[in-house]
Amino acid sequence: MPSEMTLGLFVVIIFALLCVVAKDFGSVNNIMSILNRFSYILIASIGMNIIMITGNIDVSFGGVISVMCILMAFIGKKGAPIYAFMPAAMLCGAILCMFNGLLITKLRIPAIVATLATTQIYAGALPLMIEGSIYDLPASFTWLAFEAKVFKFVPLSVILALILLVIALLFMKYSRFFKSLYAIGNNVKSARLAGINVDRTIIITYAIAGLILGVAATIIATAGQRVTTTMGAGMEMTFIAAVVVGGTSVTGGSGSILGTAFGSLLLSIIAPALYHLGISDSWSTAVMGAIIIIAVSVGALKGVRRKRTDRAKEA
Amino acid sequence: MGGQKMTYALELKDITKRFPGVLALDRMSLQVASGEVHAICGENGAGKSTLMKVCTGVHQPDSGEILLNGSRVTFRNPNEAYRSGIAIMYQETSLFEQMTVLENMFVGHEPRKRAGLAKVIDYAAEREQAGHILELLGTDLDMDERICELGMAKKQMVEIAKALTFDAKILILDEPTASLTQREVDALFSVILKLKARGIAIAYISHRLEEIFSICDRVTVIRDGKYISTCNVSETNKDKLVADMVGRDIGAYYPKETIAIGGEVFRVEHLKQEGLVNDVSLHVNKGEIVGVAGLAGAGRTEFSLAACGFTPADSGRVIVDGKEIPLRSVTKSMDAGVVYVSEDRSKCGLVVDMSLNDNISLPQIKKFSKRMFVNQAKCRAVSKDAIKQFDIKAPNEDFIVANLSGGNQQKVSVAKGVALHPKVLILDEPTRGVDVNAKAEIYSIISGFAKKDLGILMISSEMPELLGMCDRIYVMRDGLICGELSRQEATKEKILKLALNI
Repeated sequence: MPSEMTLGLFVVIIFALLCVVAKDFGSVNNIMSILNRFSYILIASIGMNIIMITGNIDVSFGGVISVMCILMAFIGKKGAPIYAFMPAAMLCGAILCMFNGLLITKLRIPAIVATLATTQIYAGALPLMIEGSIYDLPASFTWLAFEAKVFKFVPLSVILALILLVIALLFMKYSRFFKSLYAIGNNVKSARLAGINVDRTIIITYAIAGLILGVAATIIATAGQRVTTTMGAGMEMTFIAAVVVGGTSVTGGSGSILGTAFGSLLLSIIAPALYHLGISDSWSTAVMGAIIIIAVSVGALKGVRRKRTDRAKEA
Repeated sequence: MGGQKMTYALELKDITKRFPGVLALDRMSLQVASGEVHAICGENGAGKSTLMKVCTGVHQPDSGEILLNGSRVTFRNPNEAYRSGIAIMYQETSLFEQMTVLENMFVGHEPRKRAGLAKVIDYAAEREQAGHILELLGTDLDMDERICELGMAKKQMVEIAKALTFDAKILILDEPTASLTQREVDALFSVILKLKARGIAIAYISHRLEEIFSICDRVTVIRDGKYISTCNVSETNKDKLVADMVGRDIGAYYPKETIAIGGEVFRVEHLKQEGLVNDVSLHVNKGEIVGVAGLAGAGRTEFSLAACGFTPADSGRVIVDGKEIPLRSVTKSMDAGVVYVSEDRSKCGLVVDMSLNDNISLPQIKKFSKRMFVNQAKCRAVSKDAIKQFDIKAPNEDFIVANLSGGNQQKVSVAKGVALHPKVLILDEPTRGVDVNAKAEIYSIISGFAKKDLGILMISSEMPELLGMCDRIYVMRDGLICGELSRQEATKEKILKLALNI
């Protein structure tokens, strides 16, 4: 059984256990809450996944989300509908993440360093521009979270996430561009030799991730009538955890969308689970960190077992 | 008969390539015909590697022409060469480990078909084409297997299959049988014959003369960057090839003095390391300069690294001055007086961004320090001494090593080792990449040290150097010592024949 399916089974078992052990975990309210979390975690993690497959990373996702949320609140405060502010957010995300991509490819700054820097810039600049938060947002703004339902009860955000999931699955399989992400993550030199324009591909990948992130940010922003300058703070950890648990190697070159989907599902259960188990939710960050370590170690051990000792040949 | 010139699949005319301080290719020629398996032979440093790099667009020649099927071509980068139909298979494959055979074959140029508005990868077409190619090669490769699960032989097959998806007309194989079992070699040869039948021109670089005589049609010998000869394999023999490879003795001057040879200072008994060192025993006496000859891949560096504890040896004994030292411990080896000077000075021998002083005093920094503080005066005294002794051309000891010439850098590398007052000095290719003058100076220094009652083990690929400097020469092949020659009996031919297993 492929490892993604093992993961999926694991998540389902955990969920079932929690329904039994934790009070009210299986309630409709909780399920809705989990689905909401799942929708934006999945969408953002897909973006993170394609970046990590190339062997890069982006820890500025949280900061970018915060910027996009404020931007959307700005536009939406006067009553602009979602089909006005969501594209704006997507464009903003694409630009900000593309900037990351440029730093990495043109200035040759390692991804972790570049995105750590930009997250400081984005997170730091925001409070300078806005005092605290934007509140009293109209119903037209929160439409997605409160009113948009398919078949009367399935939140539109979940449908959006699933549509994006299907699109991502198709693209990963049938697009030459997305295949090349794996090549770049495996062996940059060989990728160049195969005719892949590595720099351009990486920049576009970041841009696409930023675009996708805009959808996730929309779901996050419209959840309530108030948008703060720290809406997305720290969220990148959740996305990275989801991607890594899903089987994507941190060094790049492998990883599937399906794995990321199951990983996102697992991550969307954690916070509600802790709450329903009566554990303080400050522990959720610790749990996430533990998950990342476990997932990466499992991956590393598998790599060590399969590695052959190659002879170090003289040049 | 007639003046009809034959058009070769690949032809090199008067190719010259210079690097700073070294003339790598000197008006080199080569002609490989379609459907021919053409061997290229030469010692280490003869220029084979540079020749292949020029053919595949890694280097651009300074002068001369490259012709593909009679038309002149220039390759600005390896990608252009690959797309023109020249494929090379190195010993390290350039495959994508986590991806499948099928994906590897088509990455970057997957066949596509229209699906509505979009262009999607046509997996059916891929599988069909891959199926044809794999059938042609007669291999049992599973196209859905991932590269990381395949052995070296199968990886090579994938590389060949990949080249065929580009419709490669010229295939260059660089030591293809180095990591293969005999059965795998046979399988590779049958594939080569199939490719030959399809008219593909194959250049075959190898040291293994038996293979050349078994699979190749013609053989070209090169030496010192120059073209020497080409003949049909049926019209030559191993001795003639060896004679062409070594050439005539130029009789350079080596400052070798007769010194009294003392007792044994270094002995290695049955050193083994899985896959790298098969069973090596040797010894060095005080005052001796002992050479270790062999072709690339013979395991000389691997042996030294294992003997000095840099890499974990599996078994064996190392005895210095009568006392056995533990394996797998670099500190204990160095304390016992075994010092290894690396062949790769920029990566392993020196910290190029630091000064002369820092480099030379680094290995002994503890000796020069009291608690946490380094006694710079002591360090500088040693460095100044080294600069004088080795005649290193630098204004002072604070000069950054990166700014020194190759020859002077090498002197610093050796000086670093010598400053430790070793009992045994192992020099790995001490004059590689060093100009003629610096070479002579390094030879004097080495001879000077032999006087000082230490033993020197010198790994070298340069025959004149070995013959001129050494009292005895060991020859290694495939991780084993296959011969020992005294100074009197050693000749280039004998060394090369031992190295080639003739």
